[in-house]
Amino acid sequence: MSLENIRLGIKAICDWFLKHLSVLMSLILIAYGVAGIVYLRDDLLRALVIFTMPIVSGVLILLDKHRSVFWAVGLYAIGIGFSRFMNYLPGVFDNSMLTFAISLTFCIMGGNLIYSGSRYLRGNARSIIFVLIGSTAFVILTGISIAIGFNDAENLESFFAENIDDLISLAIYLMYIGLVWSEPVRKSTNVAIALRLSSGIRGVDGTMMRASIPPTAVQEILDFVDGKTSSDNGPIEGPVYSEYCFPYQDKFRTNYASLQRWNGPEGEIYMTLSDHNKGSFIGTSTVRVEGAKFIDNSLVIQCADRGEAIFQIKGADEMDGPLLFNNTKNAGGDEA
Amino acid sequence: MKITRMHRALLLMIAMIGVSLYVWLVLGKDHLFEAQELVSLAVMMIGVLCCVYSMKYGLKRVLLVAMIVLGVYLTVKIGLMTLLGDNTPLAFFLIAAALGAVSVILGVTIWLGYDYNVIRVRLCMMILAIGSAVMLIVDARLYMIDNPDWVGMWWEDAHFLIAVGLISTVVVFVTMDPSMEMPTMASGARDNIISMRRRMVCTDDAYMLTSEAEALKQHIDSNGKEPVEILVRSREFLSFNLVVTNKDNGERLLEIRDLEKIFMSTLLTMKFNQAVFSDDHVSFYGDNGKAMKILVYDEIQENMNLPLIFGHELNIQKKS
Repeated sequence: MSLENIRLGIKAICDWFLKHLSVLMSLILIAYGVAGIVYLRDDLLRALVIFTMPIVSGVLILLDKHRSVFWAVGLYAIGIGFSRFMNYLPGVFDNSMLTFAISLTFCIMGGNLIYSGSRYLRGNARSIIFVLIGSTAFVILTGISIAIGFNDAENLESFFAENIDDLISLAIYLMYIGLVWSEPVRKSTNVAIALRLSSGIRGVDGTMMRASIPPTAVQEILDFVDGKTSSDNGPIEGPVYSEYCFPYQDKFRTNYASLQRWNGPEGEIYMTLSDHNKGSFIGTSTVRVEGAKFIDNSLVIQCADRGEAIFQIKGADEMDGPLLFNNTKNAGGDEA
Repeated sequence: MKITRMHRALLLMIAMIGVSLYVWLVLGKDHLFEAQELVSLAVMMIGVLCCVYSMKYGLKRVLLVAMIVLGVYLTVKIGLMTLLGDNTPLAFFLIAAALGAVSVILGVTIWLGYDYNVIRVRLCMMILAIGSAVMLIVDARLYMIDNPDWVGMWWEDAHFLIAVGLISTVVVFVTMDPSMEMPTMASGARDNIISMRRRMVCTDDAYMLTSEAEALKQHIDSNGKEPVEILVRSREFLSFNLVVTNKDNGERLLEIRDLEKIFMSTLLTMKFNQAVFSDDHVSFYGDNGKAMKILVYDEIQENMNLPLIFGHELNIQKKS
């Protein structure tokens, strides 16, 4: 079993976990609400006020057939934030200044959490900083409370008995921090969406600083441009006689280039750049290819109207590839 | 009811008059007709008249005048109280003067025309409003300790905080108007994101329905003279109208039009020579390598980013 297979296996497990994350969150919320009501059953009205919202939020998450992450994270935040707010609101009117200060802080943080949740429901996440400030403050304050509880407890059993709600709260906040840092949620902030779109446009316009391709693609591109490869099955579709697609790297982003020969084996070649390699293609930038050659460890494709498109070779360039023990061959005709 | 710029401007001026009268009649009740009260009241009233005049130039001008007036009013009011009053501490004047200076500076930056003026004003006023609310609660708590008559004592201090909180809340409300150019970074970024989506190059999930593709094929084959318009849907990006026209000179023109009436609603135009229809996509081919591919599905695709509750996709996202 190779390291790559292990990595893919673990990633598959994580992806499965993320895919079922919303169900997990709803179950946690419902369990938290029910446990809270049972725990505070002696003061039932207060228990219902504090813990009904998490249960309602959990049920609403379960009702969503699409398992939308934003819906789940938003309701999770609202459920937890509302619970926190209602739990600590009586403390604002307490005689003790310390209790008042802590309760007021928790109430403000609870309101912040509710607002963050409402933004997630609308599919537009707040900047991660605002979310983390509130959640981290919760974690720190809860941690302090647990530390004090641990110090005062007679034994482990009494510690768990008296601090179970703080421990559960800590777990819930930590989970929330993990959630807002997860891939789908991080990608939903305004900045992330704008970055993705503008990076895609940069790649398509061909205005990025540098692009690199794997060494194996070089000879295949040269052969395609020279007409040494043919379409054995005849024209692919419409005027497209043959096609060769390859990925290229623009910093951390993978874009795709497509070389198409049109109107027969002697026809013209066009290159299209895109940020995706399947699905629909609209308004893409296409240039006519006049030739290709391998110069100074770079593949240079001569384009009409746009000059040279220079693809550097991944692994051979000094800015890319291994730092030591470089056994990457220089491509472009040297391979057998 | 749609809240217009006029509503916001009127509310701001009413708040300025109301707060100054409130401060005059309540806080200054012991010195009603003395210079320290009348001068500051006059400053505010003249300021309100300046705001009325500024309405000629728009809400932004009203806001900047209001900010300057509020700053001058605060400084003059507390300054006169310190100078002519009984026991107003100097520290109070320094704080008030600092706040007043900040307000004037914010107003001046709007006048100078910098990009992020309104965001700065909004943020400062939000901090002031939230700070006032928190201070009201803290004040109440401090008086509450061992003090059964705390309400009266707290109320004496609350006047000033209420006035500050009220006026700053109204200013925040004014800064939320869409005519304020960039009221928040988020709204500016959102507008740009919508625009970038209209660029179309990143759209990878544009699709039409099978029935629509068949109608389009029929139109092209029959060389129909009337343009045919098809809704092309996209889940992640923007949906748009695809218009195909068979021209008299034999040319076929494809246009992509935005669903909303924007500055230039036609986003893309392409002449095509060939249209290839298959089960899962439609491709259009023009000259010089120009091509377009749109997916085809039998039914409308669900948007998995939107929650599906009781069979309805719940879309509460803000529109552009």
